[in-house]
Amino acid sequence: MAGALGKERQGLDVDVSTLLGDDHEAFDTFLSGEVPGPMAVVGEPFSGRGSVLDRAVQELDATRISLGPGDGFDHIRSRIDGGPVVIENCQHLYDRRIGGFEELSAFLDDMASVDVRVVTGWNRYAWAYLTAVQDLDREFPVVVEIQSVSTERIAELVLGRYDEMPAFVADDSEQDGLVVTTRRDLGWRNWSVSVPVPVLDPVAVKDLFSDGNLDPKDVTFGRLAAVSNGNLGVATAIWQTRHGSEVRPSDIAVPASDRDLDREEAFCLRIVLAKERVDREQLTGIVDGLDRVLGRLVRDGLVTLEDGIVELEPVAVPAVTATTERERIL
Amino acid sequence: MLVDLGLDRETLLGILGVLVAAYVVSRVVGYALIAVAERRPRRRISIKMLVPIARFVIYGTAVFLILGPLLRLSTTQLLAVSGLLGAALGFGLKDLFAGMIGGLVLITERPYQVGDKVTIDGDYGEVTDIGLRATTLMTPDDSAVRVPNATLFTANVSNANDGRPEMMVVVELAVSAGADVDQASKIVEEAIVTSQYVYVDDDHPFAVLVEDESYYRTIRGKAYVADLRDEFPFASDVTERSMAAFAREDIDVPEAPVHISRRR
Repeated sequence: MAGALGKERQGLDVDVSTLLGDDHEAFDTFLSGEVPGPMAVVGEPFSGRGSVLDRAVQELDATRISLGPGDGFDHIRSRIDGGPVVIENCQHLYDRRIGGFEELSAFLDDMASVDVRVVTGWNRYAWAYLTAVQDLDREFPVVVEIQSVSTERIAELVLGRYDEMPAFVADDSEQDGLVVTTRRDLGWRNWSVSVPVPVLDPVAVKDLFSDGNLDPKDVTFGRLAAVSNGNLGVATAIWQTRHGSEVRPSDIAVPASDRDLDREEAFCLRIVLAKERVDREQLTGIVDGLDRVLGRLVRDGLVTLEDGIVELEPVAVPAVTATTERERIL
Repeated sequence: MLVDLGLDRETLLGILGVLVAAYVVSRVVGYALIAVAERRPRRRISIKMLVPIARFVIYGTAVFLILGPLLRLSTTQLLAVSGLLGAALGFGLKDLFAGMIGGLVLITERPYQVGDKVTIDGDYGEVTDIGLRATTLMTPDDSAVRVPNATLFTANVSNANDGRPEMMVVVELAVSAGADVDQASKIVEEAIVTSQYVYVDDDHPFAVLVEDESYYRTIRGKAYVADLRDEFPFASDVTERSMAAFAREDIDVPEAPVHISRRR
């Protein structure tokens, strides 16, 4: 995949000010020691929390602790040596079950009593959930959030990973027309039929009103920024799914399940979305019919299951977010 | 008789055509609105509210189209029709007429809407249809109850969600008087906030209350569900997991009835 678009360099050289936007000042103020902590760095999955925490580690000369599935407070306590500490992926400190908040509670109790500078990283959906049900935000005087990255910066950062530029080609609006046809299932009681539904192609419509002068590169990255919601990691993952040396705006699409997910699947996805990586055993007893649910989600390309770890697919983040938000799962 | 009133075959066919068209259009519009509503959970009830309004407009238009020719009746014909209508309303159709007036009041005052969970005159269920004459409730055991709209004038109406998709559900559990009530309350609270159906924000808080009864204590958990259709799955989920946790933690449960109530 990447080879077709030229040799890929490793990593994204993204600056913290781009990721934090207006919150960058609060971040710097905290690192300079002007305000007491602890501080929470909150962001979407794959949005670049790690880069922000890297900067905190450098500035504070701190110990970095990265939590994974199943890690508890003991994993942190054993590594605190009196100096500044940066704790990544704090969403692993809770489980969505009765008795699942004990590790988090112990961590918050300890943080309230220790006199060290602490920077913590949180998944945005876990943060929102814990704020709603555990008043988590009250324990963090400083909260900075990863912002949506602009279209221009996404283009710059994504293309900066490659030695060679791909060829950007406009979609053939004459061939496709203003209207594209999708299929929708219409049902009445036990009867259903798949019917073609004509919908306006937004790219073609935009192209029409701009006399066809839009740069296909701008249109491509505009679409990439829109579907990824400005999430740099997701945008990069979607970009990497492109094939060939030519890129068209219509190549940028978010993979989504062809079927309507049921409530149990959506709930399972919400947990994975909030944790990013979760031990399969942790989902046992929380999600009914776990084996089948996971099997379907893996087949749909929304999560991966390897060595007992269920992991969120970066390209699936927009679809997973939309599904769980539509179901209004906390 | 109808021919004597000046209603020839063409007019009768026209009236029939208008009625059939009104019926078909009302079904299609209702189906389309419900289909759209089901795809937008946040706006579901607001969109469904348009169904009875659309139905009233469609049938109102049909009545207008039908009565148009009748308004040009001669004095004799008008008297005959008026007498017939008056007698019908007085003897047989007064309940129907009251129901239709009740339907109009429902549209304007909106004490409940399609999709709301209500109790009317002792019947509890989800409002699935507001018709010209009656409102249909779907009870928790899947029975359709048709309540005449005129009941609105004489009976109390309790609305659990008042047009919003969220709804408060109260789950009650009982523990023995000697049980660790703090631990039991914590279990119920965590069962609530970890449920897949719960909905919590600043406007939709949750709470756990303890009440001391004569021989046991009642732990009452109150929280909202995001979709009122999840009322019973939520209550069942919280109760089942709380009871399992009580058993694990050796919290004694008395032989007391456990029931679920609904509050706004």
